[in-house]
Amino acid sequence: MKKIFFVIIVFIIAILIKIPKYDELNNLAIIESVAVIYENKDFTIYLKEIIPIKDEQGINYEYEYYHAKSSSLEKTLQKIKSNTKKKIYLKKSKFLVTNYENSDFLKKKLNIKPKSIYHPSSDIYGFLKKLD
Amino acid sequence: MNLLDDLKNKIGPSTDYKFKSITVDRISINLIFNEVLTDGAIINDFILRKLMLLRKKDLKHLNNYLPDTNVLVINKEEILTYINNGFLVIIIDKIYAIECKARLDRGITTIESELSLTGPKDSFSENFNTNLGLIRRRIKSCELFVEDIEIGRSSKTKVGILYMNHIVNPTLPKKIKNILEKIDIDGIIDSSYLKITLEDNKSIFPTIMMSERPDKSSMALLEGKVVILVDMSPYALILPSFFIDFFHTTDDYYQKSSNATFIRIIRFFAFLIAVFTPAFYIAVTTRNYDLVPLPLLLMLKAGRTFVPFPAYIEAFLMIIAFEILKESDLRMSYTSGSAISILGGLILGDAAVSAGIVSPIMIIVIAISSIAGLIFTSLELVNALRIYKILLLFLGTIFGIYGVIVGGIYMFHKLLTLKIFEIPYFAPFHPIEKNELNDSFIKKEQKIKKRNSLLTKNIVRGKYR
Repeated sequence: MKKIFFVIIVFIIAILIKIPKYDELNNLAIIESVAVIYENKDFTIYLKEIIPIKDEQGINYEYEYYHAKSSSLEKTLQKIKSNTKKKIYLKKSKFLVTNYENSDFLKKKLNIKPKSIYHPSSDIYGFLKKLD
Repeated sequence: MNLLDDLKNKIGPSTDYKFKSITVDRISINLIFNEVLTDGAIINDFILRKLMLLRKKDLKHLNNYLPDTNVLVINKEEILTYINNGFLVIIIDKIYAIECKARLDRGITTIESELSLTGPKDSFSENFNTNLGLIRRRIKSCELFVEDIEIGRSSKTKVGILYMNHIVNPTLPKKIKNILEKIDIDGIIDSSYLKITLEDNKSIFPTIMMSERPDKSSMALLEGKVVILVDMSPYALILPSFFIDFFHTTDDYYQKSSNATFIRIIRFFAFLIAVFTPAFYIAVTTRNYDLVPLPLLLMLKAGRTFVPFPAYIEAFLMIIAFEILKESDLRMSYTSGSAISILGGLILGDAAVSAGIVSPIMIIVIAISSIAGLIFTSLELVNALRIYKILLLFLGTIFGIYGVIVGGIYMFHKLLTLKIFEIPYFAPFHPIEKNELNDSFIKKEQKIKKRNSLLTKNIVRGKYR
């Protein structure tokens, strides 16, 4: 009886604390940089995924880009997520590039803690590509 | 002769039992012995030679006449028992049993499984008397009590319960004897048979230590523990054994306290590494990425790029592969064993990584975990660690870090609630026992040496200076 009670408690706590979803590292799109363009009341998000490739010299990095446009940040992000089979993992993002003035709002909405935030005057996507 | 015919009937077709009849000074003498259990030289050179000179007047004091220290007068029901124990039975007017045992053991050899850098190198063998002698040579006191019992309807195995009478809690040997006397089985071949009976709990952790070291057994006796010796077993049982005892080696007592403390702390970390590493790795690479710094996460991902299996399957396969390698290495002869280690450990491991079947980091994780487990000499503890490692791996896969923490709590709950002969297994930490804390993970030299008060009331051992 005690054991059943223990197992039930374990499952209840697991539900309450929201166990992160299972995803293999292979299936994880680790986003290094995020770009957000606010234009005509629409948000365009560019995500730069960093892909480590192991070869004889060591580890090299390749990049893959995702983007989507919508009227809200949440919808835009959802569009990106639905267009890829990979799990978009934003929490390790190092850079945020945006023309939107309230970057704290973006950080809160996207749930990221970038080390550096840039506000280039033009060509945000080009700036994102150059970041390393 | 009715008695001889009766004995021959009982023995059946076995040809190793020998019957010999001689007549000396018109006295008819019948000798019965088993040629494989007895030493032919003793019978020929001493017993027979002396019997040939026997005169009728010597019959009255035959016990003293025969050149053997162990001459017993027995009854006819005991004849076969004594013959099967390596005695020569002589039937004249009475029935005499004379000990002429052949040496059927490998003698005192060096330790194989509980190696030490310093300290004695002798180990127990299969001979009960030799094993008892090795302890008696270390504790030359009549307070060392040995209670013999015989277990096994067919094997009639001699079992000795050893304890220091003035130290041990008197109820402990009684309890042990009661349990052993209840055993009704055809035979016990090794001390492990008794271990299973004496461990009356369902815990995976061992509560009785098996040791082939006479010095360790002697130390345990002086601590107030009970040692069980079983004839034909090179392993003594030391009981009760606590969780902390499995972190101690005899080497700890032969070197400085600081060194012993350092190595004991290393063993504690090895215990944690052995149990938690694979589960923790799976949890942080499949669910709790947030705990891993970005450079490390990228490195882990790079290693897994072409691996076709999910991480938990990969970990499980690696654990199985390591266990197969370990088992084959153990069962093979020494020469083949080293070849298997090289083939399995180096060539197969390298090939598996090159082929992209497993990631290099997974090999490192499983290897570190498995090697950390091998730091302990107790096979039972190594097996317990393996079971908890797999259980935590399972929980880590399902619940992530939360599962690993729950599994860890469950394991420590088991350790905290386990009891051996009514004494908490997790002593001296729960309940706290001050004397023993000084010889737990930390070894602290004290002016007055004391025993564990949970084991004995006679707690003062003495002092060095």
